[in-house]
Amino acid sequence: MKYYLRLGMTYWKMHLKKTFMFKQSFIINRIVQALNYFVEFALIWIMVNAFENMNGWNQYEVMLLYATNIVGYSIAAFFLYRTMLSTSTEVQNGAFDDVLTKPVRTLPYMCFRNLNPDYIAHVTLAAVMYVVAFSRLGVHIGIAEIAKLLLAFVCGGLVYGGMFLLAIAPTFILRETRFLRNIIFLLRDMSYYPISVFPLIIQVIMTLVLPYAVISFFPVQALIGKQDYLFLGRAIIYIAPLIATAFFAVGLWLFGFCVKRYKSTGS
Amino acid sequence: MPLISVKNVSKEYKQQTKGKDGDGKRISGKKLIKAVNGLSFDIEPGEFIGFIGENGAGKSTTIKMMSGILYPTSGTIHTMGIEPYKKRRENAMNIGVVFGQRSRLVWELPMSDTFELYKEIYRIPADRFRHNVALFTEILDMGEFANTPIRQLSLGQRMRVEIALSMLHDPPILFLDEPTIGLDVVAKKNIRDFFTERNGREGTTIILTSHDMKDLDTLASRVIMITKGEMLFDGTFDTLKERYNAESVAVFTFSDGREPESVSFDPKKRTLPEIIAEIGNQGEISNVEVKNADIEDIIREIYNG
Repeated sequence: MKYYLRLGMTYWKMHLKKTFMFKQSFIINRIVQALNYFVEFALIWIMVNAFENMNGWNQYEVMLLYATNIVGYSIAAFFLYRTMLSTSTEVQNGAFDDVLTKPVRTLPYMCFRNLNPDYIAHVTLAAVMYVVAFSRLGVHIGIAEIAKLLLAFVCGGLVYGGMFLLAIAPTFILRETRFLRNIIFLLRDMSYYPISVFPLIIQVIMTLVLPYAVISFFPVQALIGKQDYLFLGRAIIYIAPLIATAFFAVGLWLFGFCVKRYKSTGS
Repeated sequence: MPLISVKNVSKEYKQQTKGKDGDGKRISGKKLIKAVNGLSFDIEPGEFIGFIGENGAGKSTTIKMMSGILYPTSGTIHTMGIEPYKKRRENAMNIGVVFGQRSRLVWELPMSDTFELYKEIYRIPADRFRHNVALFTEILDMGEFANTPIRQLSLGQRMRVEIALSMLHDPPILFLDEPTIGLDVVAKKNIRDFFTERNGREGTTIILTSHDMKDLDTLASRVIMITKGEMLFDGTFDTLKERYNAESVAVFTFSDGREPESVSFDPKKRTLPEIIAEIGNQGEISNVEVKNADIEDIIREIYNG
């Protein structure tokens, strides 16, 4: 464990060093990225405003859904987004062979090589949204709320992490899996809204199959004491972290299963 | 016990085939490709092996199985007592790998940053690390570009860094797949010197594939030659030259300007003065050029024959 922490830190320093070589372009890119997300949320805001509320959720509650969602996404994407983009190329041109000649577990090594500092933009935007939403909703922030928020981030990180792994794993066998990436982002766009606005079948899928509801929909309710439990009872609030963990475990298992079946390309 | 032992190893791939048959009908199916077929050999500590074969002969596949990247379909491989594909991470500590044209370097930063990463990956003790970096920088003549970002280095400079990187953790075994491809004479010499030094001083066992036969002739003490995944020859270069008819060619030019004449001969059976005396009877010789069969000719002959 200590070995992996040290190795992770060494890689992180290297990524920062690389990033700071192009400081201005990094900052400009992050500002543009944050604006992008801001505009995306502005459209959701306008829609919620038009309906006055969305299935009992007001704009500031939806803002919390959005902020919690992008923090969870950032945690997973920090480790796995670039890995998802590069694995297909590395498998196709044989560069992945090199990963297997290192005395390091495959997944941590791939993550470390691809750590991505870009998500500072998401986290900053989310922080601003939390301040605005909490003050407008009059939510008191104590230790319990902070703990719930942190748990929400962990759930989000696990679900998105699981999704990234499900998208990466088949690449070792199929070589090209771009279509799987699109599912991640399609469901992400849906999960910005209260899940209860969707038909029952979508609710079931987003709770129990690809559990995007666990990223922010249930955690935010636990945080602000809302009760919109879909077809489930209150217990879902407590089960949510287990669903997130189980989903990530499935992703890990599939990753290991597929790496073992990796067939190298010729020289 | 040998350092590396390859026993009756085969590797099969299923290859998807799509196309049209003679009647223009579409056909698709899976074809079984035998990349390696019942290969066996042992490698002792300190050997320098030249691993030869035409494209697609199964060299890379064999190296990938020995380095733990691929599982054999049948047969077993042991490197330093372990099956590399079963204990991939343990095996990785024992080997250094350079796969030709594929870079592992951090493109934007100088070589020292990639070295630092490898120090952590292989848990290299600080003093050993400093010693090796200093030594390799000197032998591979990397001092002048030590602080230049990798992306600004030439191919030859990058390859020198790659090779240093593969040896930083002092692995007892080094696998080199086409390390000198596309390099100029100076870079090649640096690299050859480095291999000689590692093999001679540290006793590093080196397995080298190359299309540059001069590389192999000057470096390797033993040749393993495969074709279509099967063993073709295993022995020293001298045995190879002896076994396969290594003929020299003498080209005679005459003073009277007539067509030059070539004579092939086996230096062990006939000497050059004998041939000169014989050809001299036909007219006054103005020049003789002798070309000894080099390893490239021999290999060409073996594969064509």
